[in-house]
Amino acid sequence: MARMKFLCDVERCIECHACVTACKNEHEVPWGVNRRRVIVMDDGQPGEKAISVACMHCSDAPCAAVCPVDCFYQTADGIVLHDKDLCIGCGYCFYACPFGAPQYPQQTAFGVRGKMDKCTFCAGGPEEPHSEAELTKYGTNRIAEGKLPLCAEMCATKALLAGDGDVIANIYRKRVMRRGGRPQSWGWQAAYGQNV
Amino acid sequence: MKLIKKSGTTATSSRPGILGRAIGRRAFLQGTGLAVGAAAVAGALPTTMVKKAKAARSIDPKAEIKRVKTVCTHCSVGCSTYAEVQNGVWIGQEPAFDSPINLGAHCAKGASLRNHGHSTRRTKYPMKLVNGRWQRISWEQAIEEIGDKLLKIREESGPDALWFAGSSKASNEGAYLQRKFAAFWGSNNCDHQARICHSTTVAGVANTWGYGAQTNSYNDINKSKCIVMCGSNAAEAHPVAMQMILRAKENGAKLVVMDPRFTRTAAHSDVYVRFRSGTDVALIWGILWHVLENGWEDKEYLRKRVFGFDKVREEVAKWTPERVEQVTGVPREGLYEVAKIMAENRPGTFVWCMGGTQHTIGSNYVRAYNCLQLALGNIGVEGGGANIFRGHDNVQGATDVGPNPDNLPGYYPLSEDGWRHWAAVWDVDFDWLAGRFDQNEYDDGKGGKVKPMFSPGITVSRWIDGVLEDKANIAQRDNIRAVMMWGHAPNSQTRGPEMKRAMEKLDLLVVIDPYPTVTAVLHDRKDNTYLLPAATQFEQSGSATASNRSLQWREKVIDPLYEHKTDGEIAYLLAKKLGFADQMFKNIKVVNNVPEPESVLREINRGAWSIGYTGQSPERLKAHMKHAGHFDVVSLKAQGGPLDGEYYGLPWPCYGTPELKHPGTHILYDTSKHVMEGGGNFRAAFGTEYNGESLLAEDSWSKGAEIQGGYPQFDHKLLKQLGWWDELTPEEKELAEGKSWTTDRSGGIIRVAMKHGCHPFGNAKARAFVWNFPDPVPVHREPLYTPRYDLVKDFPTYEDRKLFYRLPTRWRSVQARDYSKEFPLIHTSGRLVMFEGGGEETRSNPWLAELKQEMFVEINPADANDAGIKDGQWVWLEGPEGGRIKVKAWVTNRVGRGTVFTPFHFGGHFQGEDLLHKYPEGAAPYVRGDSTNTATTYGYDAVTMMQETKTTLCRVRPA
Amino acid sequence: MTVKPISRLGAAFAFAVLLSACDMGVVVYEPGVYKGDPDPIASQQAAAERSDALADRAGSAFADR
Repeated sequence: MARMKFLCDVERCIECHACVTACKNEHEVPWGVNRRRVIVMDDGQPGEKAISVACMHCSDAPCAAVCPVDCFYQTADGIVLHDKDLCIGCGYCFYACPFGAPQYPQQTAFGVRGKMDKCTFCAGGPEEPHSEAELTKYGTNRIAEGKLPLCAEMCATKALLAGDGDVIANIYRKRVMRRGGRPQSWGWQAAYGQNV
Repeated sequence: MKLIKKSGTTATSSRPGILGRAIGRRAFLQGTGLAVGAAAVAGALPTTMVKKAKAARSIDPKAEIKRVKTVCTHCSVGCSTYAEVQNGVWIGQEPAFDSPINLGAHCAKGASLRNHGHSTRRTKYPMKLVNGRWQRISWEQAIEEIGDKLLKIREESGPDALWFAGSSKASNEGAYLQRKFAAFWGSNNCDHQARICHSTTVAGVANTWGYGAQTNSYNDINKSKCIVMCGSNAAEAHPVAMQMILRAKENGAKLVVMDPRFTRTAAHSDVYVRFRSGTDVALIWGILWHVLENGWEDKEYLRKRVFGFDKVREEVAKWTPERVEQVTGVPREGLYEVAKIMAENRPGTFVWCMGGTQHTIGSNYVRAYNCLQLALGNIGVEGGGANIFRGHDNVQGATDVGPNPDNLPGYYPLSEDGWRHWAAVWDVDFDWLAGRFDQNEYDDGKGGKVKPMFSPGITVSRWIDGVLEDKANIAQRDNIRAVMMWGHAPNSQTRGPEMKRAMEKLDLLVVIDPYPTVTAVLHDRKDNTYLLPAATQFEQSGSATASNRSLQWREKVIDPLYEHKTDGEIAYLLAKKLGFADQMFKNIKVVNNVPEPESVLREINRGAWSIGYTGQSPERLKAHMKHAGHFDVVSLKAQGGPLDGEYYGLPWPCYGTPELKHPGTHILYDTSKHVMEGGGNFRAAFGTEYNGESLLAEDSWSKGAEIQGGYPQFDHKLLKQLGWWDELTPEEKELAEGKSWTTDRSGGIIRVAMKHGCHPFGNAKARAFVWNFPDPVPVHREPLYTPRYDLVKDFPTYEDRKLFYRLPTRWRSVQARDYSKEFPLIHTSGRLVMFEGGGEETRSNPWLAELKQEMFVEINPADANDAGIKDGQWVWLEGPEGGRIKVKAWVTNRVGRGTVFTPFHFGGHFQGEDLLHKYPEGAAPYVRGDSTNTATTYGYDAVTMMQETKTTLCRVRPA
Repeated sequence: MTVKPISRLGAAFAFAVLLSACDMGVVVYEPGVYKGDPDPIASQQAAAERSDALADRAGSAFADR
């Protein structure tokens, strides 16, 4: 059985934020809610690296483990989803998530939380696929159409991969082999010498 | 739609969730007594959230969804995308994996195109200022009033009193009609973004080897072994190009980035070279010094294919590593390493963008890059080339066939020959056309007199001086009195405060744009100001030329959202009102006032022989879009299928008639291929000899050429000399008699030349020595506003000129004063990935606007500490000409000590004041900020009038 | 010890309440088990049906053609 995963190839990510806007575009996620973000380390310095992060669809998802109303479930191919009708917006999953993936719609008054929102791996939620209810609460359902998350499908450099872990690992592995097994970006040679 | 609880679930239905046992939610709630509480939570949702959760679209899963292929409008890479349209609404955007250019990929801008389908932050209907307030008017009223005012100004001051900016964001057809509009109005006073983007590139490369365009392609970079990027931040400006660059790198290519700023592109480089902004010539000669010192140049290539390289050697010899370090700040080892990498990894490509072009000696930078590539034998080969990444999506096309003040479509000169050629194509009488222009003669700046029909018009970089300069000093009848900004942001031009004054002095100001733009708000005008809503490229069909010269056809995605009209329709309505529509649209099909794009392209095909814009018929372009998946990603060549052997998008030159089936030219000047397979050689555009030395390539020719040696451009005489004249058909002979390959409207001369394997534009050497430029060999000259005033005496700028593009132009008198003490920091500018150009369009897209909500300045920690500035603090950035901007400080090592960087996409504030109240209601962009160019300064390239935006001075202090 | 009638009534009521809990509509709370609505695409069968299509899609989306 396939197991859906994201993988962000750091050597290719150029901080262009296409993944972020593709997600906004596909699901009409409101201003202030970011199902996906680009995180930059060492911004503006040698060794600068960026990585695109969203819900990682953990196999043993901590969000689900702590949810007081048990609104999380996982599809047979490993996509972690939740039922917004059940969610109470408490933010406990936000504590548990190692990636800061859960989002809460911003309110005018600081701190007021609505229902939790997060990356669905473009798989909608517990509603009839392609129904108005699904579109409104969760966004579109590409998975049901045989398509992968739009963030990855539109990635500028194909840094962000999404799909069955085995399939994308094969694609990634080929790249790594071509690279000769070492990162090539600036700073590497400075750090480890010309011949490493 | 509210987040209401669903009904109808039953406790007995089985549940497929795999986390646990089947269980009914209602039963669960009843069982735990939480039902009331949960309902209370749902009911207590604040209304703001409920509103935000409302889907902006509804998708009917049963109704038909139409898939329309279009091309992103945000940069020159040319990324295809599929729009999904249901009942006229753009409901989805899908990646076009079949496109060999982007393979489905997009950057932040491309991935948010669908917002164009429902954006409300636009000019929605024609408006005018009435006593300082925007008032809605009808199209009829707008055209009547604008037309009457234009005719009155024409009567009083002549046709040159109107100046307009056309657009690199128009389609080829729209941009072409803009140029034609200017011609039929009777003026050369039109320009577009290319002037302030890559004009120095176009002039520089065209004068070196023939055509003013990228020689290779983004795709071809896959074949490069070394990629040098100088003044190009592709990761932000051309993100999808990075796909090819990083693929090449994975295949072992070395990536060298040279830039004053450690860009997001530099973060991926093998070698990064930081140098002082404004010293590229010294930098390049510093690299070439090592190349020549070590004998790494390609001597055979230089002998066969390059003219005048010895003169470059003389100049380069002066640039010892010590001197280079003194000027650029880069030590010997740094540039030795770059030279060695370039020498050892051939073919190598050289990429430059606006960091290399927007300078007072930008055309020198460009030619220095060219000379370096020629020395290494990297031009005219796969994997090599001058990969000039252009800016806007159709800036290449608008340069080729659009509103340029200094040439006609296809780069035909403003000479009588050039005008006669196009008059014939347009099927109008030359004398009638000439009669449309001002008949007086004016100083040509070279000691002669010239009629305005034959003199380059005023450029977009200088239109403000056309308004403000004393009338007596301008080489036309009157000042500019009316301006139309027809798809152009004003905040992309320097000297903001003076622009405000110029706008206020005008008798008429018209904005033709999907957005109000900064032109609507910068000034304090009360009346005689109009906004006309133009359609986006998603609301019309047409072709666009990507940076690599490939033409792609966009299908229309949706009807205009509000009262928007296409550029073609607006040109038609204005021309009709002004009285020349019948002539201008004589052979163009017009339906309900809308010129048919296919019909316009066919007219371009009939005229633009000189650059091979003749083979790309609408039918061929549409077939290429349809079969995009057949093209190889690296070679761009179709493999099998109906287009077998053609290059994607028929990159120009695609010589001859469409029926001739020239495949397009992927790599310019590539002698390893037959001309009918896209091969070529350098152009014989500069005569056959110079001071007794032959310019022709005697020992080099393209594969299969029957003339094995150099030869001039083809014309009727050469054809007769060669005994090939009788290979023309009788019909061809009739049109070809007395003509050259560029003016023979039958295409016969081209056909016969290519049949013999010869290149219609001749076969010559590239020029390392461009005698017709102010600096025939590129030399370093300090910027007008330099932080190294001590170097001015060794590297002074040019003398002032009385007339240049009709205007007095200053160099030396500006540089005469030392500003470096009061304004110690170099101010340079550039792009951000989420915005484009002046930014009005992208800052009006919430998905993009959210990503960067404030204008900022990057400042080095040392400079910040010197000025007492903390990260995130509001600061004033003040330029030496008095303009100042209030921005947020971003303290970062991305810029070196002594340099600050600002992005140029912001607008809507002026010197600290938010101009929100001046926008038409509901049409202001989400994100506004002070514009970089409010603080930039005077300074123009001596060949093209390119503005200086990359090296000026400033000081920064806490606000 | 005598049992007050009122207590007996209480016990009977409590028993009746407990008895009523044995009704079919009531499920005992089980922590960590999804309590929401079913998702038609979450099943083994649905996942198996789309797996080939998604693998193909990954090929066309991410391989460096």
